[in-house]
Amino acid sequence: MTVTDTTESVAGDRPPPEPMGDRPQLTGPAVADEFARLFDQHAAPMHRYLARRVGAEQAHDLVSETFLTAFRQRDTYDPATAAAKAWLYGIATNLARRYVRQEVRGLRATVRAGRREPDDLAAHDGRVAERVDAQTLARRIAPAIADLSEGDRDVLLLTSWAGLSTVEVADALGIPVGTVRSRLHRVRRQLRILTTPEEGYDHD
Amino acid sequence: MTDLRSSDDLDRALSALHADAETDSARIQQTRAAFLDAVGQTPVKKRGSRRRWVIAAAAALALVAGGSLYTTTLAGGSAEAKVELDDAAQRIAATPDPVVAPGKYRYLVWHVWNTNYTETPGGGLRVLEETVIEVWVPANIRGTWYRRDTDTGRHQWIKGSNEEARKAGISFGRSTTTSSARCGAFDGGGPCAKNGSWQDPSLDWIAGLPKDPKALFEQLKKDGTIQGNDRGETELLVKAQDALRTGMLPADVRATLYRALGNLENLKISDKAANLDGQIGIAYSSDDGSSREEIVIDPKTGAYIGSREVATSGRNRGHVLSYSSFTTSIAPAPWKTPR
Repeated sequence: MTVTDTTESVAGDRPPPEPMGDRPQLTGPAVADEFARLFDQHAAPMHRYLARRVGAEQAHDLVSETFLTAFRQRDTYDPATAAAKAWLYGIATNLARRYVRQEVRGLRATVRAGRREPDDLAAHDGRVAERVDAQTLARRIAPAIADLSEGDRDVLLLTSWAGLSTVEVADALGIPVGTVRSRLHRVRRQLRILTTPEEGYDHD
Repeated sequence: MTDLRSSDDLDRALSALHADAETDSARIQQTRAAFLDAVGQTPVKKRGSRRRWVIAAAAALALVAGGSLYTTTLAGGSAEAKVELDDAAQRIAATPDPVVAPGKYRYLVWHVWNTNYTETPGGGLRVLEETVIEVWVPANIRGTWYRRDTDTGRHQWIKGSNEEARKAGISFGRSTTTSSARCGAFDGGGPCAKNGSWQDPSLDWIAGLPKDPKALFEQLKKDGTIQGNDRGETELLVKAQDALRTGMLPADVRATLYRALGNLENLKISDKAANLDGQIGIAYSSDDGSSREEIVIDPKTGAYIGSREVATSGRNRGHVLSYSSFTTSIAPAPWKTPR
């Protein structure tokens, strides 16, 4: 017997690009099918994005609520003005705000965890004396991310963790794209100071 | 540890921050099913037949179609089995389960060879007969499933002949029965049931399984230790096999289960090239002293491709006692096979 996978319906790590697929018409009798497709395309990465922000359990609730909210509000979605991804992440990010305290606590906990471990890894291995590992750098930026305004944090993490473009972030949050770019530039500049090594090598 | 000098430190730091957050695919599937239920995609159809949607362990003789009824190989010890299982788990993790597009169906096929015994004045006839079971699972798992059972008429004599069968009034025609049931509850149970088991895993049951291989093994041990069953560790492999053969375990759960099976003290590789309906895989086995149970895994993909039971004592020692192969793919519609 031959095993056959129809490639058109098999998704890998990255969903196949669909020129019109990300701006679907969410009306008509096939709307549930369209939402099923959107769920398959976005639910898992959205969960991970939310889990990194507010924890895995809350993320499950938020994914569920996001899609139910989207379905209820489908009449407000205009494919001419925004991609479905931006619309969905906008809903998810908005819903996640109720967990902002939890998110900040989580970021602060990351910092505390860092303080219990030595930053200097050179003691273990001379070859890494000049290196700074990613976890150490992550702990350095965590308090600064906790201190950001909600709007700045949304812009940063929608870009970095959800992989949205600046235009998509603008659509998701309902703010001008110029604002997104300037926020992102400012926030990244602030954070980059924390990840720039004191000495030893040039930064970009 | 990551060397951060080679690219943007900030992006690397952001990538590492809370990177251990995990997405449980079984939970996502539960959310998906509940969501699609809520938005009304699920059609409600008639109650299905009385058949179970899982294949009951065939307490019957079977043969390897196009292969051998006789197997003697014992290719490896448990350390090697553990390494190979871990490798299979990694391959599964690297190959996400296919996503079934709305309107399409997961297409599951089992080829099972069962024995039929007929008493005759001459001492009885024993023959192996093939049944093909096909199941179409909708994109929304809570929707209507379709099932077709086909007795193909293919058979092979263990004791007897076509002539003796004709005299005894036995024929080997082709016959088909079809059924349908919401959420695979062909005979109750199924993925939407509140309770589940290794034999009949429900979505809730799967979601509740431990995520850690060692903890999953402990659960398997707890569930597989049955009073009055003296198969010992072999029964644990049977339990795992029961769940794998349903085709319902998501990739991450299968990967954890493979790693859990690595804890079996007497697990061995019994055949590095087991041939199940033309699919070649590694057979992992546990022997209870009278027969060995095998699960067969494709080493290239980590996919579970079937099971065998081989006699290890008595007159039939070395003979394949039961056999089934399993494949899964995507079909365009119920009753249609993949193009």
